[in-house]
Amino acid sequence: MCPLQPAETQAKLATADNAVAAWSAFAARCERRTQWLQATRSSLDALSTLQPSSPELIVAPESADRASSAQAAPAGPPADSLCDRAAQRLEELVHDSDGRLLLWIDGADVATMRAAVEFAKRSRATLHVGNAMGAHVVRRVMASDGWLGASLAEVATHADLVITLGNHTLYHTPMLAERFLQRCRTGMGLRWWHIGEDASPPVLKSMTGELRPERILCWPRSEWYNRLTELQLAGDAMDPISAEVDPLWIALAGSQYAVWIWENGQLTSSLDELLVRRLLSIARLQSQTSRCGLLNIDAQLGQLTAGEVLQWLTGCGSTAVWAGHAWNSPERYRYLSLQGWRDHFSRIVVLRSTPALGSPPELQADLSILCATDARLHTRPNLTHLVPVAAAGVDYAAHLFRGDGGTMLRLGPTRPTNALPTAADIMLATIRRLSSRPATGAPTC
Amino acid sequence: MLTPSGQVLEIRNARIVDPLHADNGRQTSLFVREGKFIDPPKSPGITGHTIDLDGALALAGGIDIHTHIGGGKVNLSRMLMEEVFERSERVVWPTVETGAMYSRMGYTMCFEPAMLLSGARHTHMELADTPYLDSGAYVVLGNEDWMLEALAGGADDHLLQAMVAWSMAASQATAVKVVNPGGISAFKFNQRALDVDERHPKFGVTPRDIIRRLTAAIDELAIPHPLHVHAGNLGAAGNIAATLQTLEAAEGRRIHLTHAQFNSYSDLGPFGMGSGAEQLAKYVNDHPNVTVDVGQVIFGRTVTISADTAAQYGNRKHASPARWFVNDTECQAGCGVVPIRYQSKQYVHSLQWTIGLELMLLIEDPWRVFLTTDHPNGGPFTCYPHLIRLLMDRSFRQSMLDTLDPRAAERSALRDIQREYTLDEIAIATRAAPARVLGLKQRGTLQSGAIADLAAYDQRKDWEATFSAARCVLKGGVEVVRNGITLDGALAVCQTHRTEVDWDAAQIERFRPAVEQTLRMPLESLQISNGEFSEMIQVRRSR
Repeated sequence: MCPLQPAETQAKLATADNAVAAWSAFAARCERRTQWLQATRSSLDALSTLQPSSPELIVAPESADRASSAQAAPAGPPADSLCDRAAQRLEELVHDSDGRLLLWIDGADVATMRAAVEFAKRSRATLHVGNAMGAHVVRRVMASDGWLGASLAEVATHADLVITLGNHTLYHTPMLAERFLQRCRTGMGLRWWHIGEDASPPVLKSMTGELRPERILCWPRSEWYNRLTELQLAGDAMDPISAEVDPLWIALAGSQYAVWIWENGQLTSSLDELLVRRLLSIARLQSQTSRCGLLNIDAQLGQLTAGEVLQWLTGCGSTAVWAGHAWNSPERYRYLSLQGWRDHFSRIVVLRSTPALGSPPELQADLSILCATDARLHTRPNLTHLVPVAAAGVDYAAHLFRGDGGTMLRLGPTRPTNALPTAADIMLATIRRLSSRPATGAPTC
Repeated sequence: MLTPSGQVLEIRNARIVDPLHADNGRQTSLFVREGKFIDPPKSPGITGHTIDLDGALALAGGIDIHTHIGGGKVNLSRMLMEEVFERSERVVWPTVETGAMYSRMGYTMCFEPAMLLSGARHTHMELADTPYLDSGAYVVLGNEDWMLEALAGGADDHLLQAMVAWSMAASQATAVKVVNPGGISAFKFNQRALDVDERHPKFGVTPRDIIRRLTAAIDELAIPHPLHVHAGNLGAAGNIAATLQTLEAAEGRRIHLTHAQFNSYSDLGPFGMGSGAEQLAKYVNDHPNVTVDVGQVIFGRTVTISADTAAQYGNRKHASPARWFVNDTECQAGCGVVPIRYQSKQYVHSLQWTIGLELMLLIEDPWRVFLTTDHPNGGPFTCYPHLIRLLMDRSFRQSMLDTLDPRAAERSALRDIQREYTLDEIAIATRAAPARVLGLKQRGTLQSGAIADLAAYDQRKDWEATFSAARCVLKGGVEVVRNGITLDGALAVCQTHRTEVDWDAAQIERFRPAVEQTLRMPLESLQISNGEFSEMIQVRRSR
């Protein structure tokens, strides 16, 4: 024991030892983590069963022998040939698109995003960080109203009241409680309340008795906005507070540092945007007398990273196109539907360098550059060209933001290096090919 | 143009502006080989390439000691620029544009002053993506839970030095900065202000304690740059008294007060606010252990970004347009972004403008006062040429004074200040002095042995026009700007500067539990190893 640590910290350290053991036990029981591991294994096995002559795959015929062990990535064809073929295909798409190529980023690490931006600049492709509706909602609120926020360590150490909003937080950030809400154990100074549609979400069954919400407010989804509005007005309202809202109002009134937490995928619609604005108003009101913050977590690995890198390299947050002298984010791309994206571009490339459970959106892409760990790799009938690449943070060390944006970490690799190229390799190889050609035509905007 | 390795680049007809150079003030040739200035070769005709400056002013590459150009806050403000500001009003640019703009002005090195331990990778990534510039970053300490707890527990000097050294090593930092010592943390416990001798509501330490201990640790560790201090009570009326107390807390040890203008307000004057510049200038003149950078305000639209969430929360009512961001970050500091428009007809803004210039002109030693706008807080770095003109041209300064709010203008000491900066003093304030205070022995000068960072300016109708666009900029001996235009395809190697510190690594186990328990991650995950740094960040090539 460090002799300089105050007694309180010594108590915390003892609890931390218990927490590590509890975390390990919990992780073994975590349904979502188990699901991810199973999906990873099955996708690796599936990759090995793909016929080398399959039109869906840009692989060399000699790739028939692949490792199917979950411990080692598929050996795949020699990286050079796969990379070269992919780059060749990508170059063809650039040429065929006549300036109307969309590079849709579904998740990327820093190196991949840097390469993608460079590729987009060279090819005049439109670069879009997609599938981030929840992040866009938060961004719009930030831009119009501002923000009051907190990061995960603040929640773990300073918060005395955490309110998680929606089951997305429980399902898609399964480690949140074990890593950052340890103090919600009895007597440790953190209260955890949950607002959801289920009184007893199945995922909570896998949590230990002490690490679960103290209280679950079962609110119909359609009522969230109204009740949060009532909560905001509760201090001034002449009307009595409803029984559904009153407990939360009391809890907030008694807190010194409250944090509202949700996963981005929970609040994605324009109506949800109103709800986020309402949360911000509540946080601001609360901050007049105590401390309160909002914390939106992006559970889809690589989404946040892609957006941040795009922002610092181009000044654009979600969509960027190089106009010859500066990056632009055309207004017409702001609120496009998937069909709208398909209609606007003659060629579409989807890229994801980070592993994920969900499929990329159905864009009828001309080329999909996806991690070999993608569970759906083998079940997409509409793929015309698919390039399996090494997974960021798994097959190679990658820099990625944590889902709350509080820190950037260097993750992986978690298994021996394999022969698959990275998405960045393919981008850079394509840039070299394009550099040997004359520059592409007029800017797209 | 690349000069093949080993060959000599001759820069002819350079009018030297470098007080450290033997030929200062004279027109002569400079010689470069393998990225460094060298003595004139003994053999004539050895040069492989020549650049003729035609008598242009030749200075070392500019060094910005304090500019927010990389990291989480900066990226957040970029989002604000994109969503809210017209393109012509944007003052925070993508990294590539930032580097190009600095380079065209003749700057070759910039330092990001607010890097959190948890955000170090992000900061270095952005700096790495900023071309044409060497860079570095200061790690922000003095508000972390574990350090405050250690100080409260009577941590011995060895432990504190280890914490400081480890933080610098882990984040690959150049120096240490403290922002509103203890105050950002106090705000997380709902205390909205923390005076110099006021105790933290949870940890019980005072800002004075923190300054005293950190300045001592930095001296013991022989870190070249002093503790870089963003004092508490930033922007508050009457804060000059607290500022002087903050400087006193160093007890004679080296200390650098950053963006001093924002901490130089007396409580005498309209709205209870006046200039404390004379008081601060006198203190600096009388205390050679103190250096300052100014943080000059420039009129127009900008955005304030700071780790000082307490101050930024207080500034929210001044937001223009009316949106603001305050974020508590990883039990280390915070992130506050508040857009603002400084208006010449507004008393307080006019006062701020006068104070910055008063400081620059009243502090006598040009080696201890540095020209900054705390970009973008006081204004964008693109205004440096305008600021240089204000310093060098008294009549222009007076004409600008006449456009201000009259209450500020009539009270300002600027009316009576005759001083005009000389070219030598500009070279010191923007090149040689930052290099010296940062311990960069091979920078800020055109002397033989120095890194060949050079900026040449054709003298134009006024000093602002002169310094707005360099005729020629060399970065490590490679020409990156010609006639005010950055050159495509220039291959200049840019580096991120960090300070290596000797420390007792065994001490790490004394604070490891506290850090890991607070951040909920292994200590090692925070550490940027030299290998990682070398591979991905350290050496970068400009376009």
